[in-house]
Amino acid sequence: MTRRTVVLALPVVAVLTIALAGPWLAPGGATTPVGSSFEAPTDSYPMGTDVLGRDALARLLVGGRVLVLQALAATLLGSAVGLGAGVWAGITHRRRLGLALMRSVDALAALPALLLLLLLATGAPGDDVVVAVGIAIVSAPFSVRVVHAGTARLVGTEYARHAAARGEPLLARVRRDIAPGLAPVALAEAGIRFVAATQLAATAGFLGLGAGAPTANWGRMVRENSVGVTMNALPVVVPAILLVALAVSLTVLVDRASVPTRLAPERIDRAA
Amino acid sequence: MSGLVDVRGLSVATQHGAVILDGVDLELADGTVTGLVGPSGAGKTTLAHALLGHLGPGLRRTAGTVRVAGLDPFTLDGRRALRGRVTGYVPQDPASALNPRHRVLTQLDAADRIAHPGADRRDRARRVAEAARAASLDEHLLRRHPGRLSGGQAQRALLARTLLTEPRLIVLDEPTSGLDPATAHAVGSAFADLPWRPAVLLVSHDLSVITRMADRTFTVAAGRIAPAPKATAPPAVVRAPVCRPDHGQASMLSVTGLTVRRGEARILDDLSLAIAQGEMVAVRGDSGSGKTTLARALAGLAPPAAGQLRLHGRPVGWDASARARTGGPFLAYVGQDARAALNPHEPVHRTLGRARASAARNGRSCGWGPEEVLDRFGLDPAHLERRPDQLSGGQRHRVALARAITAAPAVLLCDESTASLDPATEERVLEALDRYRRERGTPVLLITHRDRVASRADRALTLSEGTLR
Amino acid sequence: MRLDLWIAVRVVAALATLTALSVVVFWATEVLPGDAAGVLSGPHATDAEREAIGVALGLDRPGAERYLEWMRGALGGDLGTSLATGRDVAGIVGARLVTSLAVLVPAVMMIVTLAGVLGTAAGLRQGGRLDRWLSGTTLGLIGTPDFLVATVLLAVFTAWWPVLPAVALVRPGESLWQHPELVLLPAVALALGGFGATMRLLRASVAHTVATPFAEFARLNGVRGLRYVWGVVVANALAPAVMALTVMTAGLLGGAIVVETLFNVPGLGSELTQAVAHRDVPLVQGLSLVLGAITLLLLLVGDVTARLLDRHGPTATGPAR
Repeated sequence: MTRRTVVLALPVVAVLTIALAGPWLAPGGATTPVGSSFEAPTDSYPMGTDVLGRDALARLLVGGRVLVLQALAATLLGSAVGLGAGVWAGITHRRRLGLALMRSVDALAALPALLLLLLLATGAPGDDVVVAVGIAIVSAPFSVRVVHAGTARLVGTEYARHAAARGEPLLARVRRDIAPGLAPVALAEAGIRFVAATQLAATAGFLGLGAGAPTANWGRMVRENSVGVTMNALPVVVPAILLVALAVSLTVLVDRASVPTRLAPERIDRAA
Repeated sequence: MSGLVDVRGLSVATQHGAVILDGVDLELADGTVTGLVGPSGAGKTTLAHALLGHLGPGLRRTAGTVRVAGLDPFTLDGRRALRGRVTGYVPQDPASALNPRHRVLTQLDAADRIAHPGADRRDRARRVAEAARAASLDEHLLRRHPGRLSGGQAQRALLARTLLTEPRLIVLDEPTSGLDPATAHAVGSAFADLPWRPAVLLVSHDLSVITRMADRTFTVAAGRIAPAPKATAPPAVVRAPVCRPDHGQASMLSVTGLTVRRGEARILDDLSLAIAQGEMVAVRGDSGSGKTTLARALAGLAPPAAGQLRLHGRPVGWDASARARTGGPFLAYVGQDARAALNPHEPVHRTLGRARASAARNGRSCGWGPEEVLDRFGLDPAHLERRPDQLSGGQRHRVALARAITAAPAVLLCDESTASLDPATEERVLEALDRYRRERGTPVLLITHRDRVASRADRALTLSEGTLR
Repeated sequence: MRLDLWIAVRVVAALATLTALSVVVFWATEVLPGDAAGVLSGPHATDAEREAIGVALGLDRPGAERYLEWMRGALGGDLGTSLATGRDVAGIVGARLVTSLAVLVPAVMMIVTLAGVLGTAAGLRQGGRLDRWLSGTTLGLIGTPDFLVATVLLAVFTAWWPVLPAVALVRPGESLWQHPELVLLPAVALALGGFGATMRLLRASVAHTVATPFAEFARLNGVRGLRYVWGVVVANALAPAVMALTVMTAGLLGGAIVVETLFNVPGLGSELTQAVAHRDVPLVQGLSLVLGAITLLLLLVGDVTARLLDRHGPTATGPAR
């Protein structure tokens, strides 16, 4: 790990810590008013109050966990789907079936991500789990494609072809010949997808999907408090900075770590 | 000023300080053909590009001067005056040098605009037509996009371009690679006998091609330039020393009608081959004659266009993994690139363990344990714990051989597997292979260009023009 | 593959995807728990009341039957009536589409111009100052969710430096097309959201072309200036660039949902979020189907255009997608 890597990793660790540990650190309630709306920061309320006069710091500390957990769950779920489907489509000798699978993945990827999220939210309103599943569904095609491309490359290597020629079982070949080479690709891909997933989770909060109104959420904080930005900008600016810091430093980290795997950040952005 | 091109003390280095060219002097006079040979990475292409004022990404000139017709190509003005007018560049692969979006005629016209700016439109059309005729490029080809030209036609389009612009210096980068010797010679002489007597710089890694065309030849090695030694006579084709067809013995492997195409060309053309149980057969041939193609086709790694393969008289499919799925035989291939053949994440003991397990699944066994097989190939048991990147090139080759034998194949196909070994080790490996096929009765096909290896075989065949003889 | 056959295959594939989308739309809105009857009858209704409303809406019939009925209507231009307002869904969708285009079209034009020029300039001089600067900027833009970009613009231009209207409200009878000052802010927000990724894709495409043997051949033989940039680089980078631009445009439809909601532009996106909030099932279905159809149509047009541009290409296999 170079020094630059450490410097880049710091914001990621910091934001994730704030998000995950925040609810334990929150001073007092995040849903009860403590003053009038958009009060300037004071000693007891360092970020001032929000649109309904609630403690903005408490809401900030409480409002990140669901978002990060949603993104994390969606990333893991997407990786599971991507690894399963991508590896299978890349290694199977049933070429047509593999091709058909990849075509359906393409079709799924063609649909606007937010549209699918909104649809699921209509079907199962007010549910944070559904939002996470929705994010997993819209980002899984990216994972399948990248894993499939990586697997196809590894299946084409001389040593993997020799193993296939010797008649080794599929699982043994995946474990020995595919998995070690695929791991860095899958990790980098998951990193990019995690960034996109946090953005989608924040956007879902912004649009009011997931758990209902009084619940704190960084995306919703930006929305709720943008009207009072001239009076107290902190409830908008701080969650925004946290989200951007997480996305940018994680993207740069993945970019630096995965130069040979050639995963450009713009590939996933269109899903977000 | 003694000639058209004058290079003095040219040094080029990478950003990190690695020296590519080290104080090179070179003079080229009008009407001379100069050859530049050397291994890849020696700096010959860098030198050729420097005459055009071009340095590859990350390279910079650290010392020295280049003058072409008295101009410095490393200045913007010099480049503008030289490129496309005084200098012409013909790259390695003509088909990929033409802009795929524009018709040939459009591109010739654009070249003429650069070489003769401000010329009359009718003059230009006449010049283009003349150049195309002189390059025997048919008129209907001029209206085509490059994607619809064959390699030879694209080569002629570049010749027409050169005839049109009449550059005083022509830089030819590997003009004959990928061509058969006759075509290579024709191409070389077309560029070497141009009527306006330009200076020609030929860059190639193949000394034998260059010496036939060039007036004088330099070698480039480690960034320095030196006159090449006088060309030796081209090596005579050596007849196979032994030829003992085993008549009467039932052949274990038989191939008929094997044909492999690459584009229009037939790499292998209706080839037949029969090998008996336990027989060791050598296959020789010039580079590019299709030896590797033959071995990989048999191994099922590159299925051919046509042909019939039989083992013990039973037909066997061409695709290796399909063979494996249907319980068919395993034909092991040990190629020239042992680094690619070995899983970089895997220590040797696991590589051999997997091969053993494969053999066991098919109810076969090689008979030699991991330590024994390593010992037979002159490797220490300590190597079992190493991964490929902890082995030398020769050791990797022997591990690849050990893996092939451990998997107890029906046939063993060795493609120059011993080429990177020192003579003593090579002898030991060949001895091991010989012993193995005698013990197990496994036929071995040895692909080699060396007499000493071929003499080990029961008989030697030569591959030329797509068939064995 | 022959061109007409290839286009036919693409059209069939797009239609199949649209059909699959319609099933997903219907399934998500009708079969998932948040059903229309529950919404219409309110939270305090008894089971009997809820059931009565369900029967009135035809919800007691099998899902497949209702889906086929919906599709038959949709093919004839009838998307049902809104539960909330009782108005014709097709009429609402048509009106909202016109408004959405008033924001989308300027945004796309801005992106095409900016990303085209800057992407080409950066790709021609890889590693140059402009390239490095743009690389950092676009990475920041990509890392910023659309809603943040829009919020920042909203805060800056309406709260701190109030020169532009915060919401794009037009008097009845007027069209948003007649009010460029209302369109500017949402269009810029949308354009900034799509610019980063598009610029990077165009830059990659140009850089790839610059590195080809024919581009090097042209440079070394004196092709330069406009003849080089336009005739060699842009001509060959165009097909993948068109792909990137259509993918971007299709992606903007998603961005439009956020931007329209925030700026109160009465377009497809804001209508969709409101319909979702009100559980107005027919309206959600109609809007989703139209948004999906537009996306697929855009991608199809991009695919075909890129293929036509690429027909003299060295591979002539068409872009993979």
